Amino acid sequence: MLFEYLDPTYIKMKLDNLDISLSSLRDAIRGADNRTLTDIYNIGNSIYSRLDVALGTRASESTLSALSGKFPSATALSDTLANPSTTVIGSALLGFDGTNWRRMRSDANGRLRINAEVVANPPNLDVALSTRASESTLSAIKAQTDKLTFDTANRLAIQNPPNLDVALSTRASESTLAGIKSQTDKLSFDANNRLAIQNPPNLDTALSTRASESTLSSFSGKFPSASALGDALGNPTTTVIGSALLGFDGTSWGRVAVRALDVVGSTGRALATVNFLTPSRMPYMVENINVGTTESSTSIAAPGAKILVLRNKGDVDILIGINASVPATNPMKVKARTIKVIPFSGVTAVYYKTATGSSTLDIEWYN
Amino acid sequence: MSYEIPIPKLEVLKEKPLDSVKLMEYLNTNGFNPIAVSVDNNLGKVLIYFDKPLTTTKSKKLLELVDDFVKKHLG
Repeated sequence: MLFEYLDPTYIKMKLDNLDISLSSLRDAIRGADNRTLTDIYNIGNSIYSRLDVALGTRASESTLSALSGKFPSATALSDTLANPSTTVIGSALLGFDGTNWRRMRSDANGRLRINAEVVANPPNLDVALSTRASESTLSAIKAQTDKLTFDTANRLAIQNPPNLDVALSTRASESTLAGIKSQTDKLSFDANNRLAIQNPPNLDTALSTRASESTLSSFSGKFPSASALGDALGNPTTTVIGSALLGFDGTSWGRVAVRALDVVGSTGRALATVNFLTPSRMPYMVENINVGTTESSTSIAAPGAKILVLRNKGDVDILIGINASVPATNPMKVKARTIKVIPFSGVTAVYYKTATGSSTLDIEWYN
Repeated sequence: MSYEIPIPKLEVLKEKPLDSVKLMEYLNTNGFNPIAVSVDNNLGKVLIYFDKPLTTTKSKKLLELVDDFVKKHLG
């Protein structure tokens, strides 16, 4: 019989390596959930039962890493999200009818077919569509807008309206109106918006100091109504006005003189007048004019004689024409040895002759 | 002052007597302003009256004018 014994020292040395009690080890193996080996077996068995294919047939790290690389990093969704670089994933659009999911239909162009059972009016669709502009109305508007023309810069071409008959540049500019405004800004108004006007220089006294309506009316009442002057004018009822009689001498006006003398039996003042035949120039005479049967004449410078004196110094009658030839019938005669004085304003020619024989004539004149 | 100027062709003058008015106008037109002009168609002379004597030059001019007027009238 062979006995093998272990060296106790050796055993002790090995036992010294057991630094934990078996109960502590048991508790440590059970962990925080106090799982027994049976629990672990059951979990492992459950996992194992699901490992129905070899792990090598499943996605490797590199495959998953490549798949992950096809998606961008997670970011918060927002309206301003930039266009992401990501893979494309197809999705089947389904709709739930309350019991089953059903595929949503599209037309051949991929547009979703919608047959809404009930469509709620959106908040801003607040009136019936039929109350809005119809196709015909908009077509009519389009027909009008089609007539609009535009220039190359898409600016609407506008025909000058009739009353815009001159270029705007010919009308008052801003500077002109600003100038006017600067003047009108100077205008001042009273509380009733009436324009305040400075008394003009010639309005040098208050209006109230001038003749009033009543004064002028009273003054007017002192004169009769205007009427045509005539010889048979009735005695008017009027005020008496003194007048200073003036006369015009061709250059200036002067007072007409009167003289105190006997007028209809008593001394009165009579207007001093000068007869238009009163001579005012040097008198002249032409003497010893031979007068025969052939008509001769003597001209007198303007303004002519006012008083003409004809003296026949011969023994034959002299036939006379004043300012014209001796009349053929009944001419005026200055009988032989007589003197004829003729007042005649403006004698500028004396014509004379005898019927027979000859005589001698003197002519005097005053003008 | 008077100036007496004889007129020739007395026989023609009786047929076509001179008119003192026309002679006065002619003299006025030519710068003379006599007081009176007297024409004697019987004796054939003209008497022209001025308020002042004429200068020698003017009196010669007067003679020429009257002569010219008579020639135009009598031909």
